[in-house]
Amino acid sequence: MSGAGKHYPHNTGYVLITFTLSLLAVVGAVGLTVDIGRMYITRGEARSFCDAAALAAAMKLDGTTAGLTNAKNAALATVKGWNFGTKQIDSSNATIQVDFGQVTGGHCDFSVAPNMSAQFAPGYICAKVTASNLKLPMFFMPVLTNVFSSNIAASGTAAQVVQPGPGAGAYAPFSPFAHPILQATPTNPVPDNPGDPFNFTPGLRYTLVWPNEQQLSGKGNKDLCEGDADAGRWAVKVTSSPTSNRGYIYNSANNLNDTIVANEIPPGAPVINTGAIIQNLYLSANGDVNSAATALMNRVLQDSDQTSTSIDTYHGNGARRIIVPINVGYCGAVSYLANGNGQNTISYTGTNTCQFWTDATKTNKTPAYSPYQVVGWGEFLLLDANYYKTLNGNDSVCAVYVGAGPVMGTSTTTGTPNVFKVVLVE
Amino acid sequence: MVKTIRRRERGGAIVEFSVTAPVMVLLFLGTVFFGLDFHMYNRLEESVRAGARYASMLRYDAYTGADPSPTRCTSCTMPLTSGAFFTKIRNIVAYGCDPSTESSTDPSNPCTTTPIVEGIGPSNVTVTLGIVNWAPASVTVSIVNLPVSTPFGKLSVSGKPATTFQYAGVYWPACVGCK
Repeated sequence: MSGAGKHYPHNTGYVLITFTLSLLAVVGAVGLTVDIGRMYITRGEARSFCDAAALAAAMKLDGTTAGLTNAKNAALATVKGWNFGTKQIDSSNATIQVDFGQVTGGHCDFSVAPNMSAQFAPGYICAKVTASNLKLPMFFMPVLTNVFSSNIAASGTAAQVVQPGPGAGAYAPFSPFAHPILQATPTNPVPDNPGDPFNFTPGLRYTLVWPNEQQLSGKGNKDLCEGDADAGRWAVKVTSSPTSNRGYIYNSANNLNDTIVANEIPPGAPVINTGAIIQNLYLSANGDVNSAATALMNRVLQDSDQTSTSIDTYHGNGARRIIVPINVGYCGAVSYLANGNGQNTISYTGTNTCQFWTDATKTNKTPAYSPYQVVGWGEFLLLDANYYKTLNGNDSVCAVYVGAGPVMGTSTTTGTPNVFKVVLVE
Repeated sequence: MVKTIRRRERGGAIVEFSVTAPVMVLLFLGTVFFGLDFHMYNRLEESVRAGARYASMLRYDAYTGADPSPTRCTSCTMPLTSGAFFTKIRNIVAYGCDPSTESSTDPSNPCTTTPIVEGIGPSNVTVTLGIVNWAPASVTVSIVNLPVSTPFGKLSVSGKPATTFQYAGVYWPACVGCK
């Protein structure tokens, strides 16, 4: 009786004890499933944030420290929900770090941070976003352990990648003519802007596609873009036949669309580096201005800022900023171009007659077949869409000169190259 | 007397078991369902990210609407929305690839319409373009109305997971039907 009495609660408790012990194990299993499952999900959410932020940052890099600041702000502005979309990942609940790196040996190298006190940050084309200390509260783990929250971390790296093709990393099917500085010629007065490698003045409009010679003569140059308006002093020889040197490198409508609108290098496009010789700036029939103007108009329509008239007030997505190779024709025995801020001049001592009119009488204007040499890259801001829409077949096609252009990411001047893609690299 | 006690013991164990078993079963079921659902959500998160990332690089070929600048389309039209763009993204999120474009490039490994998680199809994927001044600036991909199994029946997941990427592709509205 008494033994049975002892047995009664003991045996009954056995089930309860088993239940309690197994409950601990089951809660542990539930904890593993639920809490660790949520940790994985949160890591996925953090990874999405980092990828989106890194890409947003890489899009802003332009070789300047201002670009780095823009990139960091763009990364921090990334919107991404976490904890099943109930909260936003931001600086209040996570440590978000944005690093910038250069490419060494084919990989992004973040060991050398950019000097933010300088104006330029050449070569910084990688952006890495790390989100850490994202505290995910644990539901079941505290039952068994003293872990009340878990720190989630993730990172993403994006870089600008030059489109395959031209070595300089930027390409456009036009090649405007640099203004020569005819230093020893008394008929040529003060150069426009010797401080600029191309003797251009930023803010003025220059000519991407020229009207043909007859048009130019007939209109007395007055329809040239304003920076080129005094063309009698230096202007390019422009003829209608057989090779009209109107500034095209590539002039088929497809190539124009490939390069200008789709931002792609057309198959078979020539490699254009500084110093490259362009054998011909292609003939353009009168109507081809329509193709160029249409392509440029569509390019403008890609931009989120289609109206600002100067680079200082421009706040678009970059579609209107284009970079083109700028060339100079070979001219016999005359130094034509101030290169490197006027310190050095390029001269050619061969026998080719000058490609430029060298004075207002336009006497020295043969032959038409000499090659042209690319002397650098210039950035232009396209005008508004209506301007390009209303161009006629024989008009000159203008854009605002921004400054000497860079090879992407190695810029020591302002400017964003236009032919690159941002990709995630890690 | 002993028999009575044994009977009581047995009865007690059954009562206790009947109380504890549902708890255990619920916990087990919950663990299994939550585990599966979390796995599913994780897959969705990854897929939405992949879709948004792809969308951010994909050419957008439709007109965005209130563009102030006239176009040069003559005797042809410019569509106001790009069916191809959205279909492609929805396929990539739901199937991991786009059957219309990928099956031809690699015949040995064709893209099939196998859902990445149970029950998902292209109609469960929402793609939203963020337009700034008539140009695409961002693209958001999210899951809508996807039924999820729980121990208490089917629940519908809507609006999550969602991921937004800055648009880095080429916005190039194309004329359609030009001669």
